[in-house]
Amino acid sequence: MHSAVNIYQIIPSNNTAIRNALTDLNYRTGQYGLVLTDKEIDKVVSARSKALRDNGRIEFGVGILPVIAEEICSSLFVNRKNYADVICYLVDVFFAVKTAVCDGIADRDLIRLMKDYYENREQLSYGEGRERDIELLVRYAEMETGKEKPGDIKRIMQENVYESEGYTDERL
Amino acid sequence: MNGYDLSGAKINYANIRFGDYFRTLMNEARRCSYIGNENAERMKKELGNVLAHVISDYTGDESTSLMQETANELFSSVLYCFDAFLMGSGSHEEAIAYMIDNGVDDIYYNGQQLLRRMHYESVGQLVRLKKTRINVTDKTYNTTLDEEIYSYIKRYDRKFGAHYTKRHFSYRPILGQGSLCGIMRMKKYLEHMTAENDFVARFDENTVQELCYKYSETHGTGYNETGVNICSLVLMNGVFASFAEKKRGSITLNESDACKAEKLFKTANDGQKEEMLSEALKSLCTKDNTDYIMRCLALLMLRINDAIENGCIDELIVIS
Repeated sequence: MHSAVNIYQIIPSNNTAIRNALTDLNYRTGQYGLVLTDKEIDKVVSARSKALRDNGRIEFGVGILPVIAEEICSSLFVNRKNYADVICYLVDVFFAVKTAVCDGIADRDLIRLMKDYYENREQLSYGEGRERDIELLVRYAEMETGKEKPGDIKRIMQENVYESEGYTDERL
Repeated sequence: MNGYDLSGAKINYANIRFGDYFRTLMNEARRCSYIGNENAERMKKELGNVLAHVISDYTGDESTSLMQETANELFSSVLYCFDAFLMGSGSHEEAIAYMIDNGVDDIYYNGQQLLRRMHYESVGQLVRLKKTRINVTDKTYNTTLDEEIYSYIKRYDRKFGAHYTKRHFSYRPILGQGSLCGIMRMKKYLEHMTAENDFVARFDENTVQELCYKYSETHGTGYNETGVNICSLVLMNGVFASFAEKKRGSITLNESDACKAEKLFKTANDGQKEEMLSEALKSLCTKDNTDYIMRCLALLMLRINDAIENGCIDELIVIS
């Protein structure tokens, strides 16, 4: 009978609200040629639920999906074909980083960090090297909140990029 | 009762736990059909709104999500707030009637007000406790009074961590605080400590210091580590002195007093023992602390029986 007031039962399911928000967002992202179909909306909503579950998190209200969708619609690397997949990938990375930094960074700051991170890479590879992306974003987030020094980030980026790509630079 | 007649209700009191009052009361009210589906759904929805509001405050509107553990902690804090307020009702039935008549947000608001008042009261209690401090060198006792309690009260967060409980302070009073938690437990702890201080204060300060010193000397715990509850030490010495028919209020014992008291207690049956102990306690109490000291009776009886049975009476008393 305890389930009468269990936390998971009092949190209202916000999937409908999220679907509506994403549908509304199509009017704005449409100018970039990016629109989510009903099927794709279902896909990203499921990806969000899975990411929340995998990262042991709870979300209230319409949440982060519409924010991510709106933020990346102007990216040069996002097109009609990969739009939904990119959102699915980013929402997973977003929650993983939030958990890894123990909620130490605000949503908006993390979205901005993620956007900078992906936009400034020479080759965009949404969906590739998830673990590395998370690790670096966690470092960036910690730097943003003063837990990590800039010098450490530079070193880690060098280690990661060169090691993971099997690249050897004679000058190093 | 606000128009609700629940007097004929078959509430099973055994199903209601004070450590989880709101939830167990609600479950019981639902089981007895005092709270129907409609009301239950309304309450759940309102509870969700209250929690969402608290979470929004917690994240400072900077995050739409949070870790499950954090959400659970905040939920526990909200429930604790409900518990604190509803436990102040005259009866379980009145608490249920209040839940039906008023919104969950109303219960939360009133609960927060109550917790704030309790928080402030606990500061006052600490001040009073320090004023009645027993003048001893015991490190555990002094650290608890000067640091631990203050640190808890200072950090107590009635909004996001109202249920947070420090299970044990280094110095423990004779009586425990039961299943209470949060600030209610703190208040109870302070009440017990004050009662003990008041009790010890009526005895000569030098004699109390001497008892503590001798106890630590006998047990090799160092001059500033008595390692035992001071009130209990004074109380036990007083009780044994009373058994040995020493002067009323005396707390010093010599070897023959201890032997006499032990012998007398050993030969008595259970009923007589209880009567002896009760009389001894009454003779030691003042009007203000009778209630607390008399509540210690059962526990003291257990300890005395144990010590006599195991031949370690010196664990309880100090023989000069």
